Amino acid sequence: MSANGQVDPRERLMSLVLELLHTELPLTAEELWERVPGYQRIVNQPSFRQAFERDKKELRKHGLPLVVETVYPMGSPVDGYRINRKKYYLDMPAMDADELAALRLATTLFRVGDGSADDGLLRLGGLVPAAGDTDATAPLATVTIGEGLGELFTAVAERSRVHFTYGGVERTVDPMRIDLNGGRWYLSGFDHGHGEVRIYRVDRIDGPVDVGQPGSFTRDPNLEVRGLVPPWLFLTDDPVTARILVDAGHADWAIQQTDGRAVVDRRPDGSVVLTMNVTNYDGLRWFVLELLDHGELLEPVELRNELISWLEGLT
Amino acid sequence: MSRGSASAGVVRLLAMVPWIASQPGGVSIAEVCDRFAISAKQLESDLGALGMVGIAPHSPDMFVEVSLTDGWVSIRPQWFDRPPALTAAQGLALVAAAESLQAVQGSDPDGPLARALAKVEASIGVEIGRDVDVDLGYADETVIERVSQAAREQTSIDVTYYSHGSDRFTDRTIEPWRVFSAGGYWYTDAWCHVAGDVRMFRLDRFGSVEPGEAKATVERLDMPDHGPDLYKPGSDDVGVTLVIDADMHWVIERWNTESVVTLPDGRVQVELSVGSKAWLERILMQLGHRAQVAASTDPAAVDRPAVARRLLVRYRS
Repeated sequence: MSANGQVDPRERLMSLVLELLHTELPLTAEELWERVPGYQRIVNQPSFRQAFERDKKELRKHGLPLVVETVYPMGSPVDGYRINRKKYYLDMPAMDADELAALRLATTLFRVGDGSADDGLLRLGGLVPAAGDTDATAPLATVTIGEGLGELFTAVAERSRVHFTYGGVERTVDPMRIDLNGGRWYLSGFDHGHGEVRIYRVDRIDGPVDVGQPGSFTRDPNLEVRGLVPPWLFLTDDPVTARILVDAGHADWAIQQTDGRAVVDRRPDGSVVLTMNVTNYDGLRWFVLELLDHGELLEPVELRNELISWLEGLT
Repeated sequence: MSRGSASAGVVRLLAMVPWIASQPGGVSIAEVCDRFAISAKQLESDLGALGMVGIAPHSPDMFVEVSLTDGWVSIRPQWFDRPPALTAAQGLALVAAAESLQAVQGSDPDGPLARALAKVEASIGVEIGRDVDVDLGYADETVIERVSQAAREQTSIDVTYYSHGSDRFTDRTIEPWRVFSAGGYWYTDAWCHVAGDVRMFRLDRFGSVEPGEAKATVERLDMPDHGPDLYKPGSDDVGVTLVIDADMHWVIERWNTESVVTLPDGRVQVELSVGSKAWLERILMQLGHRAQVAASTDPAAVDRPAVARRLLVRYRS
């Protein structure tokens, strides 16, 4: 308690956590009012409810698994509260010092989320510096974790069906995968309205995400969810093998764009022929035209002729 | 989150109390402060807030028992004996940071980072690669390492650099100042001897990177954080307005646009400020008749038939 008679909010919240964590039966709001220092001094019901609602929100913000169950203390149903002990505790073998140091180096170089990574490290055992890491290391990348992403990630892990609005359309989605690509987060999942796997940019989801119960869908092991792939690998057309000739000056750049997905045949003049599987013909044309007049689609002949027709249509 | 706020204090206490309690015989205040990145004063304040924390009916044995003497702290492991589980955001942030570092420095499956990542992965119930994947952009590991090394050691490197804008390669000597990833690409801010000025280079456009002979010649400036949108329109840019078919709307997601308006017929009108002739040529060829040029401050820059004829030469020779 502070000198002015106010209870420190940390003291109130820690006491609340302790009561909720160690109770065998859910506690009603009235019971918590009596038990928790900081609530005891509040004399009227509206002020207490306001403080209690604010604290519940705070606990949920920190990911504490607050459970609400109906109890009948006086024969009538009221909400009872407890923290799910099984879900509350970190279930992980202890981190060794070198493991914590390696994670610390990672979170220093790659700043992901607004302090989330370091708050996570505190739970794992603290911020242990890497051996010999004396430099004030400048971050290599800063990645934000926007609103709703944490919920979607939990939904992927717990197999919870989600509902949200995207592009003005209500969606019901079985979330299966989160990707960070091009500095943006994407959700892949089975869209019930469209009957297929779709990919959504998380920052373009309109409004809140409604997350269903854990285990509300079963992941079909035969359903391929590949996240983001190059446009020529979108699954729309019959598989073909394409061969693309790229001038010497652009060869390395083109190879990099294929991200290890092409077989490379380097010619004596430095030019290369890239051989790669293609399942989206429009995506292939997009890639070849990225090279402007430094690349040429050799095969399949049908797609080469289509590309010529495409260009002739623009003259 | 402010380190001094009550909210931050609770986050810290929930993690710190079990850790201190798990140290047999206690631990020095200095070590706790180092590990939890707080001052001794802050630690004293945090632990002071635990003074009356306990469980009803608050008999003496029901309180959290903290002992703080002679630079040493111990907590009886009675109540907060283990830390809370990671939140989803914390788990995702740790996975993303660790995966990114592995992508840059290579992955040793028996190394501490891989072991730590496996523990986090199992704890949050996801499979990396199947359920989550983090890609900060492609650049050759060797290129990242060579440029980073030059930045660390303050030396120059000789590079062949492909300019997407002018669509040609140039040989340059540069002095890298820092390496970073943003918006899905790796970059370096560097002093360029050709330009005689600071330039930003994309690492995936380096054709070759060789150690230079010179030590750095120019004093480094503090570079501002570029933020997520690295392209800044210049006075020589061409203003172009395109009208794109509704189903091709996705292409603009990576562009830096001046404005985007959905027309009554569903098509999308996009205003662009384009600094690169080659970039404009590419999108005109790629979009074809799916995009119409509605306006341009430089009609020659959007001469689509001329570009198409140039590309066709290759297919007719």
